Amino acid sequence: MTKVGPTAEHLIETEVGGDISLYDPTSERVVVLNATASDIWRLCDGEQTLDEVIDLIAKAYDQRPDEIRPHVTTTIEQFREEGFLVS
Amino acid sequence: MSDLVRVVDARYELLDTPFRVASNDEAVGPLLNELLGHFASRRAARSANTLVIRQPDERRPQFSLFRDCQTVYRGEERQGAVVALLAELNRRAIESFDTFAAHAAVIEIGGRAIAMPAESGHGKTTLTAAAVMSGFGYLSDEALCIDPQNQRVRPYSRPLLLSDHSRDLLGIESVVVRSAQEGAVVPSDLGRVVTDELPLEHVVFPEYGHDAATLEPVGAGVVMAELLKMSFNNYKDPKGAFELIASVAGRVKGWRLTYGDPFEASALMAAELG
Repeated sequence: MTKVGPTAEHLIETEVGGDISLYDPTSERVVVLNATASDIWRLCDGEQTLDEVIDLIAKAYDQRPDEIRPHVTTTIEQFREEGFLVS
Repeated sequence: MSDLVRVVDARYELLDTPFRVASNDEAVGPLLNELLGHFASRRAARSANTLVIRQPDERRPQFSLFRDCQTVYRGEERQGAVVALLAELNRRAIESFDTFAAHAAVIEIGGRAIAMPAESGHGKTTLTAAAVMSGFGYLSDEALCIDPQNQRVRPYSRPLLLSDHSRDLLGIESVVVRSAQEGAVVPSDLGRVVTDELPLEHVVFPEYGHDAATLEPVGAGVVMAELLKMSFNNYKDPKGAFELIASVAGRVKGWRLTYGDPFEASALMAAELG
């Protein structure tokens, strides 16, 4: 299955209060991720498939994978739309 | 401008930008001294930062404010021209400022700064005035200016422009000048004015229009996103602003303040953040 990520190399990433903030120098945009999106982002390293990311997030948040799947899928789609992921 | 007899000719420096203000109206001098005396400077100003208030004459039947020979304001009242001058000085000072500045009031308690970011018209200046009248120190009702080297807050103690409604609410009876919309109040008439750079300790997001005053913590991500959103000038150095505010947001405490009475809100901040 297709792996999620890795993240785009041109992004500048910083952690603020435990959450991830991203700066895209090409568009000069800043995106501040909430706690869940930050955890999803950390798993977008090109090593996990979408199902693996969903399983890991489900375990971390003590949820069933089918409950959390729509949220994780939408978040990863948004990362891709923003050009934050290589694949 | 060559026919202008300058009976008033003063130099000021706001946020590192030198300004020259001239007028052929003698009555403008004392008003400028009272409002801007603490910004007095010897530095020469560029022509783009030279402002002139001209009193009515045969050619121009109204008070006029010019900047770099362009008309900025025309009106019947001298005081209106002075209020327009204050607004223009502020606009130019913020525009010229090169390091990070965000739209926020800044007050002081216990030697530490509290920033209150908010858009214009959301009660920021009224809350600031109430806080200063309640014992907080005044740094600014307009701009949170952070020195990128030491991350300390620079004071920008411009006069506060308050509407009639706000002054009624606060019980402020006298103003130095007033236009149709607002009156200018000298900060030292309300309380303490802070002149030193201070460490930023709290960022409070005020929301007017609630009954009781409440103060709830918000996360560092919210602080970062809001400070960048409220920045006047992060377009000048987006990466530098991102790095600076990421560092600041990770260190300060963030709060959401809801309130209806600015004095009650000030008392709550003094109790919780002091």
